[in-house]
Amino acid sequence: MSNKEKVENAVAAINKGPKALKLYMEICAKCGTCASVCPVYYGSPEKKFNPSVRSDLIRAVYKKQCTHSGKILGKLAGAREFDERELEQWVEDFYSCTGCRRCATYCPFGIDNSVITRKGRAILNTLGLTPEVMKKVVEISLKTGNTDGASPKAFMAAIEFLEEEMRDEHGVDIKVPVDVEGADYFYVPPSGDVLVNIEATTGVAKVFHALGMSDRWTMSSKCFDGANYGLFTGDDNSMKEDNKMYVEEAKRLRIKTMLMGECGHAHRIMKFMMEPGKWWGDLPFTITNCLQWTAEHIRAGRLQFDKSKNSMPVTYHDPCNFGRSCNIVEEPRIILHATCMDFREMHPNRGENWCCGGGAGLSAMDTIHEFRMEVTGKKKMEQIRATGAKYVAAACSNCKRQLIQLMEYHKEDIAVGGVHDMLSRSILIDGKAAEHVDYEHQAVETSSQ
Amino acid sequence: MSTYAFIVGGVLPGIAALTFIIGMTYRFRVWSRTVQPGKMTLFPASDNTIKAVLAEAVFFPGLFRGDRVLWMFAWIFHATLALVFLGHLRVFTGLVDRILAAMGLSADAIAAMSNTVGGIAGVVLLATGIMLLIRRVTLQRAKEISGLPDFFALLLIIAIILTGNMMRFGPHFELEQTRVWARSLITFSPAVPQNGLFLTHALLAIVLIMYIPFSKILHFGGIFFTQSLIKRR
Amino acid sequence: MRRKSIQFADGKSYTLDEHGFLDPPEQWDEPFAEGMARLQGIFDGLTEEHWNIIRYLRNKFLEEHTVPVVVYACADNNIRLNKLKELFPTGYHRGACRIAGINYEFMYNSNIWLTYESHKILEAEQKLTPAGFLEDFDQWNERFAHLMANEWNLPHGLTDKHWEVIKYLRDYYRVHKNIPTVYETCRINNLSLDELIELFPAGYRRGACKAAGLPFFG
Repeated sequence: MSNKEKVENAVAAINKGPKALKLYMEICAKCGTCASVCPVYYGSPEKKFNPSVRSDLIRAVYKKQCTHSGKILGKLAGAREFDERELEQWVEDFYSCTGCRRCATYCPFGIDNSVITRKGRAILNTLGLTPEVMKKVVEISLKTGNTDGASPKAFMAAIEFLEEEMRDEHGVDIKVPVDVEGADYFYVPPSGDVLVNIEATTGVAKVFHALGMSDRWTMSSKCFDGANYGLFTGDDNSMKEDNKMYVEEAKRLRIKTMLMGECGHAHRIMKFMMEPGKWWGDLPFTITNCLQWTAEHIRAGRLQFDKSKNSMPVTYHDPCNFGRSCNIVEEPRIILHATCMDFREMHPNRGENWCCGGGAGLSAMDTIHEFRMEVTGKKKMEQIRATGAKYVAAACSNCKRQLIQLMEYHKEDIAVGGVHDMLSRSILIDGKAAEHVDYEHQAVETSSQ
Repeated sequence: MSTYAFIVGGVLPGIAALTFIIGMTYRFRVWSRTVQPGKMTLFPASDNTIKAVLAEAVFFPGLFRGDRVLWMFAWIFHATLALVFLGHLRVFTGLVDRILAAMGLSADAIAAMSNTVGGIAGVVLLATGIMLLIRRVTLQRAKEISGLPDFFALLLIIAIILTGNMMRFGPHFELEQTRVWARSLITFSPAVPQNGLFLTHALLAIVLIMYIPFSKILHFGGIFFTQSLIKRR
Repeated sequence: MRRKSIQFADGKSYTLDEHGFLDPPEQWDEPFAEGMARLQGIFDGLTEEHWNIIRYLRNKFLEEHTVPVVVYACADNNIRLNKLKELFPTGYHRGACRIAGINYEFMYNSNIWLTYESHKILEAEQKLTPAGFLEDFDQWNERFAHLMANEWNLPHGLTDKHWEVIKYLRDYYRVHKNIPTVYETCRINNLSLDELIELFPAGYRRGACKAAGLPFFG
């Protein structure tokens, strides 16, 4: 079968569902509202970045394949014969959508262009045209269970290091239990929160310790990365395969609650796709997020903080998957209000927040680094500057990578990190907050002598 | 009666009605039967799906937050369109007249009201329709996504409004004729008004009605399907 | 890709990729590390502690063809994260790995999350005027001079000759509350005008005086 036939068949299959996608093919009124709220189009108002134009790549083929008017009237009905030479354009265009779903919020018909984008990427994936980085991340995830390709042994070394760090900070042993069968909570962070930016994980560990629940949670040495790039490549099979590892590990550990980490799309897949979709039948455990869990304990007054540890102005970036797709918007704010002296909102926020510009896996692609810095991240940069914050908290590894690069590219001295990072620095353990040896300050003093 | 008048006033209305009813039924049936694996979530969401979908269909709150200028034109356009639709219903059936009469309005008052409201509606509709067209031609983000079907639909509707307005503001046209015509259609003995303007207006309207099930104007039905798929859980 | 060239001590030049990382990595040598370290805020030269990390990274890079994530690098060298940050002020990846001559493309290909790390942008802790001059003469320290000089990409960083001129300017200003003329400065320091400009490529007022923490009068 030629590529052309493959594409045409895949598009024609939309006729059979899903319902949402089929409707999106048929009822767009071409009003252009999506473009006015799209971060990419905001960054560069070019025709190819107009969400409706991008969706038309598929819509026009659909009309040609599936509608009478398209078959008979052709161009007059907005239909177009698919041309294999377009595929290159497809790759570029479908990988320039951040899948933030902002268009869906404002579209009068609720058309979610990210669904069309994902369909486009799924088709490209079957043709083997997925960008190399994405392919590689999916491959490594399926092979090792995490996007870093880290072995259980390497993970254990990292955990040991984490515990040492915490002992250094607080002078007491704060445990990070691993592979404990029968624990209540199973913490599934993005792997970056264990291997690179460790404060999110130390934050969670400290909450457990402060609550006296150190022996009631566990991590897994095989499954410590909720990230699932199958969502971004449009490949349902690998998405489910990756997901299955985690559900089976949870079952094996006989845990009661799966505690998702600061990773928006991981939470969305677990809580809003896998669970209600009953991919693996009824689950013997519940799913919640560490932001919700921690916020609940803060609300109940079970945790104490020394806010002066976080005296700089802090703002919160709502990751699209948490804000628009999972409705976890108040919880991170509860945590930040409790742990920071100067919390500032950026506007608009919550479900209406602008995307960081790295959504739908884009932030992992350095091949489009400049595009992400100049175009997709433009609005976010303006929003962050307007707050005057010196620290941007984002509960998402993809957002963090994009934001960190944004700050470097635009030469802004603004730190980027997670929500539990702020908690980790200010939470009181036995009445004391973490003590950092201020090497840097020492260095400055010696050099000025 | 000329052949042209007979076709436009006697034959086409039936065909148009059939096309519309069958086309729309087919659409709605297919839509409601197409599978949807799992609901989609989009926040902020209200707890009440029906209320939210109705609000979205009547007031376009999403559009209001996204593009206020377009919202103004679009909402006035659609609301007036609905009003004009009711006005035509009144002309054809007299049902609205009877309701108003029962409320204690005199025949003169009703006619005067119809003239004022209908007149204003016609003008507003034309103005907003043209504004939408201008927007489509001049606003970059709308221009670059507009294709022939978009212009065709808009121009068709504007043409209908224009001929309708000409009937109201041009040479006198006895509305009673249309009531007779509407009644005659049901009894399959068409009595078609011999008025060039009326026939053009009717022909264009018939084309529109037949065009709806195959075009993007479907959005007025689709909105209930798409909006009920998202935002609620 | 936008490549650029950089020159350090001994007049040897190196090519960097668009992210400012050494590419191709074969160019690496110890003078490169010393030169790049200065650009990464390590003004007092590389110590044995720095070299331990750099040697560790180069070994991983050349022998095992990997770049360890920051947590392993700390664990393997038995140092705290904060200590690492102090050693390399611009961060593990942008500081240590860059000095060790690991190229960006390799790092990115081996693990996209490696670049996932905040780093401090080197900034003066002193208050500056909008034009970038020191607001308060007494706030000056050597680190400030280094930071100002950083932008000139001097092959050897600030040399003794630089410090001589800076010291002269500061002493003069402290006494006279004024800026000496460029001729006076050259005469006292035994420099020709050209030599002065070579030392301070940004110019007399915007280079030498700025680094010495003198204000910019109109």
